[in-house]
Amino acid sequence: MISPHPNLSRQYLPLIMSGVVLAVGLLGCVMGIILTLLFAGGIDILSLWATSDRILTTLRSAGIQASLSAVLSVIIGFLGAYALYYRPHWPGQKLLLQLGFIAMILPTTVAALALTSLWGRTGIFRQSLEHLFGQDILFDAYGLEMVVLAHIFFNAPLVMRVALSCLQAIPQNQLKLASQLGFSRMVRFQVMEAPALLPLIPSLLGLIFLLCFSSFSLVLMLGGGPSVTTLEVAIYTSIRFEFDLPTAAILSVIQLICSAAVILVLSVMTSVNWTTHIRPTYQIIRTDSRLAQLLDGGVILALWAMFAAPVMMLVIRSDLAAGLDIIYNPDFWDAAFSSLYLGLSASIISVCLSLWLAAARYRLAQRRHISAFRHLISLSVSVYLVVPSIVLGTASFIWLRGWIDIFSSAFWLVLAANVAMGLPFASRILAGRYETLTARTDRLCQMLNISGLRRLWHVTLPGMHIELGLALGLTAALSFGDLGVITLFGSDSFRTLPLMLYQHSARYGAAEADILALVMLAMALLLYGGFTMLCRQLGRRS
Amino acid sequence: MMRVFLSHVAGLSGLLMASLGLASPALASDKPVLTVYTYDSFASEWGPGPAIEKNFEAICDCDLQFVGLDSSIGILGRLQLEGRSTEADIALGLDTNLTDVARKTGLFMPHEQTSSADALPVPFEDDVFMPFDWGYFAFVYDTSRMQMPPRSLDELISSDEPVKIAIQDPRTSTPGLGLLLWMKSVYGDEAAAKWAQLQPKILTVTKGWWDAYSLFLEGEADMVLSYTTSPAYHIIAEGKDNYAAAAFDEGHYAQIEVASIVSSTDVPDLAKSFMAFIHNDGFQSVIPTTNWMYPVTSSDLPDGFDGLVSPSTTLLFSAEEVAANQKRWIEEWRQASSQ
Repeated sequence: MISPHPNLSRQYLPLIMSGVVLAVGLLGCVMGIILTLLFAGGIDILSLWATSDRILTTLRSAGIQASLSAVLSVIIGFLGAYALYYRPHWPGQKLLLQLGFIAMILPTTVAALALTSLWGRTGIFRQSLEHLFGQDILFDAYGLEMVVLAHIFFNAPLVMRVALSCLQAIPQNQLKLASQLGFSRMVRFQVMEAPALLPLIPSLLGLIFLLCFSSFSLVLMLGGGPSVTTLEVAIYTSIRFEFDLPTAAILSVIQLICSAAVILVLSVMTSVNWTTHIRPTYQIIRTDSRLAQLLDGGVILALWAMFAAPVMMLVIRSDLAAGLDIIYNPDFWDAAFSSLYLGLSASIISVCLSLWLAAARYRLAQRRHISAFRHLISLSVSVYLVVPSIVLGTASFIWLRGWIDIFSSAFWLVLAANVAMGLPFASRILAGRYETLTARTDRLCQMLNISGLRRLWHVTLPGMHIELGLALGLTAALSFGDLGVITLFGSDSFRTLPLMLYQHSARYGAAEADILALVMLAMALLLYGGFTMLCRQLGRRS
Repeated sequence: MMRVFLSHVAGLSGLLMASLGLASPALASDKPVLTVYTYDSFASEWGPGPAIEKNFEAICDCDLQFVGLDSSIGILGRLQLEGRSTEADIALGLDTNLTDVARKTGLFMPHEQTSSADALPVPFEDDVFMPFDWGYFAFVYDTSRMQMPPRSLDELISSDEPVKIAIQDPRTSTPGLGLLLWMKSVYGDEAAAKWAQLQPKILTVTKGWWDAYSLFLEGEADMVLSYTTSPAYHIIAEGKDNYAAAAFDEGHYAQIEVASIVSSTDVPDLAKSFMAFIHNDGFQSVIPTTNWMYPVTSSDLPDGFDGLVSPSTTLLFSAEEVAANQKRWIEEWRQASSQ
């Protein structure tokens, strides 16, 4: 932690206090949710016992799926990073990294559709394999394997980025020494790369496990039945299908406990920063072994297949003529409008809150004896990881049901959930840069007597323009493409594009679903690209 | 620069909010509105919805609006979620398996009309629920792709053929619940074991009937749980005769679909006249060639309905039996499916 100049501490009291209040507010919401769930009518020992079997099967299913996803994502991500590390000069490497990032911005519903277009029953992989081998030897089109595949699609790119930046951090003199000593690839791996990557494994595994354990839309779309499920899907089905609120409440509490446990475990490990910029060029001693080249090439080709093929397949098989009908559907424009509006609002609010909390936390750091508040703020940002949106929706529903018409206030609930979802991402991107920037400019600003909002607008924000663009773009794309609370509260009067795609995609083969997916992809990219480029331009001009 | 950007954002947001407010519900019409919650395929443009709307609006001086929900049992679920503030006046699409469960929710009120349903497979009369069509569940397959379909439920479950079937979730879909009850009535206590045995053949469990049927049409599934009357659609509307229903020796489970008035309706008289309209020609004559089910009043059926499978045994639980056991049987299914 960079220690700021002590003379500046006193004037930031309002900021600190408001930040702490905000953090307490966020955490208070979580407590409120937990309490609402615990006291939801009808929970007693009997119902707990009755649902225990269901809880156990759900936990087992989610646990198996999340573990497989985490392990495989890490392995594939590491393999990819390793290959990229050694072949930075091959064409298209930068694009491959970007493509991986796009996999993260891609709405889950679009990804699910794209993956089934490739791996589904009538997908090209299965058809060609059937041709070759005469029968269907591939795994089931819906089920555990498909869900794990989808999770790898989303998480391996992140692992790849983190691992690559970690490998790039290996000091130059070590590389030179290794080449001087004539180390082979195997030895280099043993001595240099493995020790660099090893510390990452626990936190990466933990984070991806948590994400996959709480996965909702992918499991919903690709699970194929009650045997593949997560707590969130179980909560959704008990509300929407069975209208069994006590069970939903019990499941929500279990979800909270599991998430909190994993978060606590994660917080004591080294945190991973997956937004570090990958340096475009750097020196590395090339190894010329043919085998090595072949293996690296194989891995990179597999990565291309993994990340680029699904979307390309979607583009190829989309039937423009039939699918374009969706443009004439007024529901589409309603949903598009709602989604964009949600995305924009949620991202702006998330980023504002993140900055506010980051600022408060930074100023708190000066008062070294009140570190509890600092931890409070850090924790409040991760609210979403503990309380996934379905749980938030369940609690809101139980709490607000008697008072207001849930479906008409759906917009605000979805917005709140999306803001909560964006917070961990936005603050992780912004906090670090904010701290370094503020520390660097503190003295200068004091000398020039620039403070408060003026400082924010003229000094801090322009200095952070890249991170701001990234944070805004990422959170906008994420909440644009999110399928979560909307499944509970969506109705004919309020729909988002992901919900529409989910409803349409069930009619497989419908050209409209494909076109809808591509439109959503384009919009998500536009949001992300728009924000990043806008902020980059603005920053350049300042 | 940043200031300009932020002011633009503020202005744009303001504009968006204003238009959001303006985009609110259209101008109120002076005709009373009758809102009918039904399942998606009923309300779609190729379903019975449009014709029934036209026929009813011609006599009622009202505006009939169908709201298509993504599954049949979802109608009940949605009404439960919305509670008394629901806009729905009529719920159309539940079946006799659910009448007792639905009645106990207190969400429906008596329709006070006499039923003239005389073409039902088993007699059905209820003061709250009015039957509007019926059919038999059956597995539908493509004769050009499958030459030797299973001839009984037992054969489907225990054969070694790599058949892939698409079925529906009994918690959301009346056909799904129908299959559950079909298995239950054939196998009784052994049903759970039979479900476990069937698992490898299940391609996926979908939320609604149309989701599974479209999977079948796309070639993803070899057989789909649908109705004996589904092939009639392909014969009459598409001129294709390669789709057929598999006749099972044990008999087929029947489905009688019902409609009912939501108690919190603001147009009870209009709703009651719609209930009476259900047994009119204007409604019943539309059913065979749009919903592809049998009408409840005796009438002539189109030619395509001649060669359809006609089960010798009709299986059907009473509504009370289903109400008493539904939760337990569904839990049994869920456990067997999670193996």
